Amino acid sequence: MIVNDFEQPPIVYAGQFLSAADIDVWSRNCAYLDQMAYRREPVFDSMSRLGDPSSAWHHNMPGTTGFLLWRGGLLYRAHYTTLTVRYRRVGAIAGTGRMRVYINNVLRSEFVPASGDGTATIALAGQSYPADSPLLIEVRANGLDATDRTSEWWIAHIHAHPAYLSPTLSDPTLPAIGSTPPPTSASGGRPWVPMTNFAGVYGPTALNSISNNQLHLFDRMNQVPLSGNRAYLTTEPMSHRSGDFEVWTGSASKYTSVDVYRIAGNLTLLTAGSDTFRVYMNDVLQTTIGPFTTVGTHAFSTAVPFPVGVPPQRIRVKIVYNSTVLRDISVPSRLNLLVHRSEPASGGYPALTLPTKRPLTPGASYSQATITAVLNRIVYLMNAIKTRVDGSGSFTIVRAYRDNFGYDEHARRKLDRYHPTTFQRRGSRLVVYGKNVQLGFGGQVFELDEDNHATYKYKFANEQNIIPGDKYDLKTIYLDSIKGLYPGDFYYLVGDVTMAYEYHK
Amino acid sequence: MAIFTAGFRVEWNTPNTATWVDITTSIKSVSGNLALSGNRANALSFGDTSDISCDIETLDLDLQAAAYDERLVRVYLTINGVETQAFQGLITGRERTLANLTFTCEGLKRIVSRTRVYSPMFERVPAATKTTASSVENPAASGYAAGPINYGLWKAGLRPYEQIASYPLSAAVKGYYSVAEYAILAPEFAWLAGEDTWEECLRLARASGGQITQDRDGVVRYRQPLSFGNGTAIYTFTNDVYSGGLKEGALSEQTATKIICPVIPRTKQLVQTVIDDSNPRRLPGGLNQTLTVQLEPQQPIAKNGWVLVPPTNTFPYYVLPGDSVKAVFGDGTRPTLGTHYWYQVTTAAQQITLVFHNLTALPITFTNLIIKGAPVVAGETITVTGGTGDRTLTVPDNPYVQSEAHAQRLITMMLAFHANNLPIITASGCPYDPNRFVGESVNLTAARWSLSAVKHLIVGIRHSDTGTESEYDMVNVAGLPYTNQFFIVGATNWAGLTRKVGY
Repeated sequence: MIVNDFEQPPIVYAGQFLSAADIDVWSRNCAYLDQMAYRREPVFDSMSRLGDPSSAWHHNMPGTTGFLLWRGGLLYRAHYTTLTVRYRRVGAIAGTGRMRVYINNVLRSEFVPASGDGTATIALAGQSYPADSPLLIEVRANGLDATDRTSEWWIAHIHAHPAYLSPTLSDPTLPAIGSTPPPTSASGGRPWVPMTNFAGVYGPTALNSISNNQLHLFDRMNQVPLSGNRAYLTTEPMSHRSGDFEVWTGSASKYTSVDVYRIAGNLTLLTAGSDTFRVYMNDVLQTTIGPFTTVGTHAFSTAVPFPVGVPPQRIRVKIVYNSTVLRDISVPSRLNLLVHRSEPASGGYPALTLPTKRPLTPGASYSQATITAVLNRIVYLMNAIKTRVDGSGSFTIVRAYRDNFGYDEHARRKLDRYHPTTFQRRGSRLVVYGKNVQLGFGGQVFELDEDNHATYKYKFANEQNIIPGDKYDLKTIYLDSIKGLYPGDFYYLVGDVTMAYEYHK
Repeated sequence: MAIFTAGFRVEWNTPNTATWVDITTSIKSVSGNLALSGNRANALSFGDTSDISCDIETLDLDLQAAAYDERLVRVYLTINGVETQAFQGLITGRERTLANLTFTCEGLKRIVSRTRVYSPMFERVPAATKTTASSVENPAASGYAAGPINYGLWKAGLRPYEQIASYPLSAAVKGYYSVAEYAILAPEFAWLAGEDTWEECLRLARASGGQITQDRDGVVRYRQPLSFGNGTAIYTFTNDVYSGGLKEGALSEQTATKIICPVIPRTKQLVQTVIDDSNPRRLPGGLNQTLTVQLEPQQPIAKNGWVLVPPTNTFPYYVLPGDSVKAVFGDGTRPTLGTHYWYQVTTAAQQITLVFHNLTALPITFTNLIIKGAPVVAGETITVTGGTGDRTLTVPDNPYVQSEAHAQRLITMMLAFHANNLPIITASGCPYDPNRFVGESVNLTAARWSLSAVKHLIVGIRHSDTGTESEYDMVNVAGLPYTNQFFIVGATNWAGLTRKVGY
């Protein structure tokens, strides 16, 4: 069953009849929440663009001004208490090397990164950050000795928590759960209340608990935005080069046991060769894609299994391109990594089975046993979804958004169309902070030069400006208002985007 | 032929008090009309207006000097020594000749209709909620959770009938309302925005599948349609009662097997600027001078959706965020909130009222008011169709039908009440029976029509000649669904039983 939207669940009162439509709303909402509680999580992009080769596994640059390891944004909400930076450092630290975390250009944390995987936490509470405004986050390596060319510093994940705003306000107009009205958050959040099976009595408290808990789960999951990631378009990985080249580094989520890492895109070769990609996970070669040998465009879409381990986990991923042929710059290859994310290994995430008797026919007669079985199945579904949300890494933290960065503004802007933010539309609301931002979707249309050869200048078939170019602004885009952009379609944000999140509602 | 003795008593109310004055000695005759709905094609159709009226003719001109406009009046009829109330309402017109007066009266619809109400947003609350001796009906009271129809009627000066002892008639209390059962459907969003309140209540009744009636005791009642066929009939109309005969008028214009229902979807959006008002306004100089500004956003604002700063020790009242109000003295300097002026904010779904108070001798000009809120925005109208066949009925546009699911539920209910002709049967030549009332289930027996104690609903009563003659309008409800056939939410244990599930 395809469910398009979460519906406001009903409130029932003693003396009302038990409504088939209400029961169907509960069932459909279960299906929706079941879908919603799985996320095809885009990867977390760790790349920086300094050095040769380009990589966040970079050889640290000397000097005291620091080297920018990671830059991005986070839409701050007043209940976020902690920012967590997960990193990895390999090799000895020369000199007085430190890792520094800046928020809104203010140094908030400086520490010696531990060897291997490490975590740093920074308090967000009590800093007077305006609610619902973007925070600019930068992580820098600083103070390294000029002789250090061996250590590797890598930002594996940055996130805030708690993701969910606990209900705090008492709202007497809401139906009572038990004897008192439940508290609610300003955004409509509700506390979860335990549910038990029905046994022939359809009391308002038990029925309203279903509605209450559906609101709880929907609000809880909706408070965690859907993330995009930086696409990797139209680059020339192997011009004047042969051998290995790191084209991408980051981390991927293994939040369920069925998750795999999906990498999809296309490679265009103008000369023959033997080109491959190697995918490393946690430093171990996991798979090799290719070789691609002939001239032409080769599409690839490969599901790479994650290493063995109990979810939820974050897996470090490195993609290394290899070419055996040294190509001249006049015949460059062109690589597009359009999708890399976590997704289910087979056709989809396992959907829970809805009540067998569904939908009930309004005005038709049913036995108490049938109605009770339907309601108890709904109770079971709700508990199962709650358990999954509690245990999934997708809904306990809010991930920071990765921005482009380079030597300077000019270099940074050059990356706008090489690394546009990509989303696969799932929600209906997009919140963007940036300047001169275009939203594009559909095919890439490349400009032709005077010899009718395709250049690297392209536009998407559909592009529209969503934030003008004169100043940074925080904008909410209702995706339904963009004609032709349907749920499931990929779309891209091009321009100076500091932060972008998609929400269901 | 039975012989009846008939009498009457007429009282009118001392304005703004609970005192009634007997004026029977000045009255010559009374005639009246009560109807469940004015819809002759389907008296059980949802949300049709119900009318109640009464003409009272005086013996002389004694009452001509008395104030009469919108004065409450009530009429009792006595049949065979049994007295019962036959009408309560307002005097809405007076006709005077050189010999006597005739007062035209109608129900409390007049008052409700004329009251302009701005309500907060109701989100998924049944259109009308059950009134009991303890239900919280005062919008200002803690724990208020009543429906939008209850809200509109309360604001119009009506009070819950079940709590009549707490609310005697007064300047503020104009009458009473009652909701016996919850409305079946609950609009996603409902609000009142200064329109004709009675019409808005009817729209809500149409959207939730119900009727609003004005009953003979003066009480405005919300009825949900499954109550029509509920209960056991304790009275039977036979040919001994309807000496004037029976007449059936079947109109098929509202008989339908297919219903088309337009839906105006609404969605709650994020907080945004909903009022950007740049009209300059002058608050006169002088202590305690006030300026009232009422503004209406284009779209209604969600529940708790206005962006306000909660009271603090410094400002013990709700105010707008700091950058919302731009004010200036005549010399261009900026006045300070709390030092030079203060203001109160009251909000409704589609209105915000600011009352500014000057704390100085100087006039203050308010140049800009920028107010934020979370609007509930209407989308493009879609239509939902239910049923089959060619006999199609299109539901009028209704702002309270906001989702496909709601429309489907409404259509299913309507099909149950519109699939067959529901002709109105009029029993005439009846004596006025004080125990019969509009909305009562009765049996009808008519051998020539092959009806034997078939359950009907009284949908209209007309009486004339001071109760000597009456006509009763009835509708056959034997085939309609009714409440007791359904699983009911509550403490009942339904183990081993089979019942219907509702719409």
